[in-house]
Amino acid sequence: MTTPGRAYFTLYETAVLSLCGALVFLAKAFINLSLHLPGHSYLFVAIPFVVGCGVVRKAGAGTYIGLIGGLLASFFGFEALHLLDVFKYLAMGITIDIVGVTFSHRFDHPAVGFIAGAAGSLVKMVVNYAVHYLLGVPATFILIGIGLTSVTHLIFGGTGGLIAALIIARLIRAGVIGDDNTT
Amino acid sequence: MEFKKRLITAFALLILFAVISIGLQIYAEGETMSATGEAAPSPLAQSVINLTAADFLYGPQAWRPYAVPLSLNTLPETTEDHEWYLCFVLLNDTPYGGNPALFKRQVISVNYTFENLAGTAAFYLYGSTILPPTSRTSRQEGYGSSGYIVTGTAPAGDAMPQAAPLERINLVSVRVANTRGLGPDDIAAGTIELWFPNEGSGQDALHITTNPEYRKGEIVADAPSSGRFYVTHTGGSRLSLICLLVAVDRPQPEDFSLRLETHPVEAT
Repeated sequence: MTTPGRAYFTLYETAVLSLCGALVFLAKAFINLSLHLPGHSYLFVAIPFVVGCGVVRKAGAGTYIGLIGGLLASFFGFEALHLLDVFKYLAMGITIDIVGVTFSHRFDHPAVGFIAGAAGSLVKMVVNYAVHYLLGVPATFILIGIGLTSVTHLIFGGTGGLIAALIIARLIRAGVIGDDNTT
Repeated sequence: MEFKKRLITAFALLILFAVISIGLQIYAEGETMSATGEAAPSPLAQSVINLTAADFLYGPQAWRPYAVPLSLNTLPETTEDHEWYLCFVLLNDTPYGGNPALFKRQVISVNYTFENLAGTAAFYLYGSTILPPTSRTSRQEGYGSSGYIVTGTAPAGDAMPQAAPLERINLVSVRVANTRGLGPDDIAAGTIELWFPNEGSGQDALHITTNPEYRKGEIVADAPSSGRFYVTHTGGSRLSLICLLVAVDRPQPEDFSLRLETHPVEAT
């Protein structure tokens, strides 16, 4: 609950979410695996997203992480279209927020973690394709890879979310974070 | 709705999304086949390829396609604004350097013979993976770089009026010179798409070398006008096609010719 007139996120929550946003950017930019499968990097990207949402447990936490991670990627990214990365990460964060609200922010539950990571990763993939489509890549060309890409995004994003849920559950058991939003 | 039902619904929605995506992919693959409903013909490439000055369809330009254009002027003595003419040649086989339990490992041997080459000719590689259909190219600078450069002594030709510069975008459709004449200019079999969605990726799979043991390739800057090099592949992503980019730095004379002969060779 927030008191009228006070900031929605406390200073502590803002710090945690900003750190998670920065970790999203670092995970995407600097962790590379030679898997040659689309979406495999979201194994790592989904973890700070879901951990941040699991620690703060407020609607908007995912959006905040996505905004920070997206702005960092837009300004300092390495990919050809990195200026538009903010939309991808923002969409992923909003999706994880929706999953959080739907499941009462139970990010310590492995199934919820999997759903959050997988859904966020898939929505990010759709936004990425939409950006490419709007910039002139033919739709047929995009659709030719969408089946395999969806499955790999689902698996890798979901696995990242699952790992994050296990981390959250362990932190709750250890008393590092409370299970009633007290920290 | 109770927690368990919400979980089941969410999982069902995720699986439904994946199924719809696979359906869209199958539909798109069907759309890319020929209008007759038959399977799309693969671009036809022969083992022996003869090229003339008229086959350089692109240029003059100082770069080659990638997520961000790559300079063609990497030799120390060339200036950055030096312009080249480009010819894309589809090879009739693909190398594979991944897991030998999955596919047969092989390299592609390319025998070449230039006649009346004016100036410098450089070979680069392009390829496409099967799924997702993104492109690969040879790295030309830094660790793992490879290239093959031949210099000729013939006088330069007057001009190459058939050539036009490529568009500076990361998705480019190029006509391959050795499948011309198979039909109208706009047939799919005569063109390939080169798509590099991400800067920094797609440069470590294809390599040129004179020794197949050097799987990461090498830079050969003073090759003879007739010789042999190998196209090698590293990594796990299998390729659907391989394209050789031949770049020359000035208009070629009318009697210029380049003969290429390609064969797959089993790799160790």
